[in-house]
Amino acid sequence: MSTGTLDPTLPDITTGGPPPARPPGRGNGGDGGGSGDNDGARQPDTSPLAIFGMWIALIPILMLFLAFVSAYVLRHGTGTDWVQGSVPRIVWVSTVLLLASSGLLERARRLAKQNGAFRPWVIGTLTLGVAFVIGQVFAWLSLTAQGVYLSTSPYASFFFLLTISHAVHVAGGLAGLVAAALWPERGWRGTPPATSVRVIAIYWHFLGILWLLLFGLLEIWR
Amino acid sequence: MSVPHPHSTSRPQGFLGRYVFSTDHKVIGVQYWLLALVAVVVAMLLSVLMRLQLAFPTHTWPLLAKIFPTGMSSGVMAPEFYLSLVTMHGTMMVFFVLTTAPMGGFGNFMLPLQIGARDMAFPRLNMLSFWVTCTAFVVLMLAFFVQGGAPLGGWTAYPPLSALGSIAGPGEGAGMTLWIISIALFCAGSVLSALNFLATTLGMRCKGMSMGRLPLTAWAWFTTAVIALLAFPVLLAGGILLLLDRNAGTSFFVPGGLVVAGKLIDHRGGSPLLWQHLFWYFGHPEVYIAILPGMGATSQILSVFSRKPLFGYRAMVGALVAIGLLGFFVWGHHMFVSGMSPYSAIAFSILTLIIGVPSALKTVNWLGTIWGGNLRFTTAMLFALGFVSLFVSGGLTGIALGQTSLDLYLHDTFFVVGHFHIIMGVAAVFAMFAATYYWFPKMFGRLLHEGLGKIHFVLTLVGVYAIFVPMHIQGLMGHPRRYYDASNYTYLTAAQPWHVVITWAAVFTVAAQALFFVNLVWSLRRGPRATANPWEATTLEWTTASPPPHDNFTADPVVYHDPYEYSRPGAPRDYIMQNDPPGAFAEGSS
Repeated sequence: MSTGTLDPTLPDITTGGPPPARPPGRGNGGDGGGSGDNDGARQPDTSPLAIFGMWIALIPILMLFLAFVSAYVLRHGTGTDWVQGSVPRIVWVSTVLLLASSGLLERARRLAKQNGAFRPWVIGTLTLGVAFVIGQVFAWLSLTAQGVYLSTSPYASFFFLLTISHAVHVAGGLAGLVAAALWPERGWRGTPPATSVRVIAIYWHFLGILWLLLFGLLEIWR
Repeated sequence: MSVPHPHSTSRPQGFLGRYVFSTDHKVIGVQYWLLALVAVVVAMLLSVLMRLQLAFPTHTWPLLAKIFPTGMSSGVMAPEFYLSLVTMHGTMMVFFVLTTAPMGGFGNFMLPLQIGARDMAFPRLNMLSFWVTCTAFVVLMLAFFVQGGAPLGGWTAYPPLSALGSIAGPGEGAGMTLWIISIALFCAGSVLSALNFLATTLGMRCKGMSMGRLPLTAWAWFTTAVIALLAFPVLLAGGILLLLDRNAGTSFFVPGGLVVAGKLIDHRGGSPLLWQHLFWYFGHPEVYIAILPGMGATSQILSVFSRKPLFGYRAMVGALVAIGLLGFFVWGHHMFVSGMSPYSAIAFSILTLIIGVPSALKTVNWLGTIWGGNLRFTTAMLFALGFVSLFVSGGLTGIALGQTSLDLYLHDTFFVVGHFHIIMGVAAVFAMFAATYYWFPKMFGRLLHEGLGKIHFVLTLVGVYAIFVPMHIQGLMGHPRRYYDASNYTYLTAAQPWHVVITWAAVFTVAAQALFFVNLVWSLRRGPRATANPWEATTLEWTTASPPPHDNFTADPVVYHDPYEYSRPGAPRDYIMQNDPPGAFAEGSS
């Protein structure tokens, strides 16, 4: 009756958000990697899914830190025992390192897109990322050397909480950078190297922006 | 235009690869479903113990003394043991039953099938989600066996008592720590799973399956995933802070000057209300995480067995999204008695009442769906109708509780217990039963016994109303919840006979569930074999074999139709499957 002939090829206009990640018609995001009857050349490109998945994964991380930050604001506003502190000086250095690492990774992402030699830039990012974490460790050590621990003051509690939580996520990012640096040229499970760089860049830039917000909260916001 | 599908993913070999560490969404779905089944049995038995205590508070149970030598030494229940039962019952039901089965169980199994995908977007992540969730359950169960036993703080774990350790009670030591770790793990598993659901729904739909052609179930899982992604991280944050307060000496939640068990507590400046805000920012959306998939399944099942298109598809989708969205702005209605500003309370109250609008819209549309339909009273249909009944019963008392003035009286009484059990507990469980009777043939290739199912339905419906309606009456009498022996209070003597009634009703209802388990076991082995489409339904999961092959479909499906094309005038049969070619319907095929 009427139009039972709705064209299934019509573009999907009801989807609000993501790019049309029309899926791998066959196979599925990496389930069949080991099976022998699968010639790598015909494996569907899983890039859109990987990139989209990375974007979605930022939401819960953002929510986690938003919850911490609202706790900070509330505790700061209502607690009678709040003594404002400031971040150890080395944190300024590690902040610069993290921002610089994002710059290197952006260069890597653009090179990878044009099939350029992106790996040295990823390794550079990795180096600066490790340096950032070492900087944070020195910040924690400098505080404990002054007798400031997690339970010393509310500000100290939040300083350790926020910086350690952020560093844990950075550690995950470092693992991702290692993976991107080692990504096979012919791709792995349908994902080309350019995608691996793009995915880790989304995450890494996010951590950089997140760090700026946390840094602003801990150092500038009063 | 569908092409034969070259098998790209060979079925994994070996028991471990196939059934334990499987990346197949169908196996993972069954794993979640079984986990929920184990949790529901344990949690149900805990509730029976609680009911025995409430009805017969001074009675001696020699047999129980042998099973619980510390909690019920000499056969009479210790107050702390009662509170640990309350806590573990609530935690298991909310997290490991109401969150696990509708989403992890049925969602995992059915979503890829319904959208014509071969699997979830990230199968390995899916496996990880399940095993993290399963570990969370094991950690929670361990709390029974550690020094001091299970925690006492209820599923809401309010500080300061939850933040102080064993000084606040025997279960508040190691048991409470395990509780927090379990919930943190559960949060992580749920977030990973939600991520997968979103990526799958948005990125893995087959050709022709526009968002406007998604079955309501898929919309419900999608909305639920969005809620889970936004809500669980906040609970995780709260859990981390609570853990630090307990084990690292911080004072996020513990105020100064607190004296507990005759001892001045060495914390200062924290805010117990901060936990309440974080908890309920998660906790209220969690209610919708539990119920939205049930709404989806109900919409689906009512349409199938009314042989009518779902009434108001777009409105139903809009209502799902509206309920999910509004759920994030009403957490304050759990805190009306916390001393919040009356202006905030009014705002939370109004927002809460507004949720009544999309809820009423859904109810009207469900009635519109069955109105004038050619009803088929299968067990699944009966349970779906039961869901609508319970949703209305529990929803109306929700409107009462949403009024600040009424809530000041009813807060923390049995009225609240009756309310949330009907709407969040039993309604959602009825939807799970409906889903089980409906999808069991697809999941296991055999039909459940309909006769047994119908008896199960009638007994359960009568039973749950007999349990939870009297609780409202007790609540109106002012009976507070979490009291382990109401006979200590003269003003509650009138409420005590109701406890006996409720307890017998509970024993009756629990006994009736034996029918369900007998049905499951018997039908798995002896039930009639299911055809691909035993209910003559339209959605894609019914286009493939029961149970579906490893890769779900022999050929990639292409969708030409809306999900609820029943009884279309002029069509050769009374349903048009979503992948039926336009115009030409092969008569009688399924």
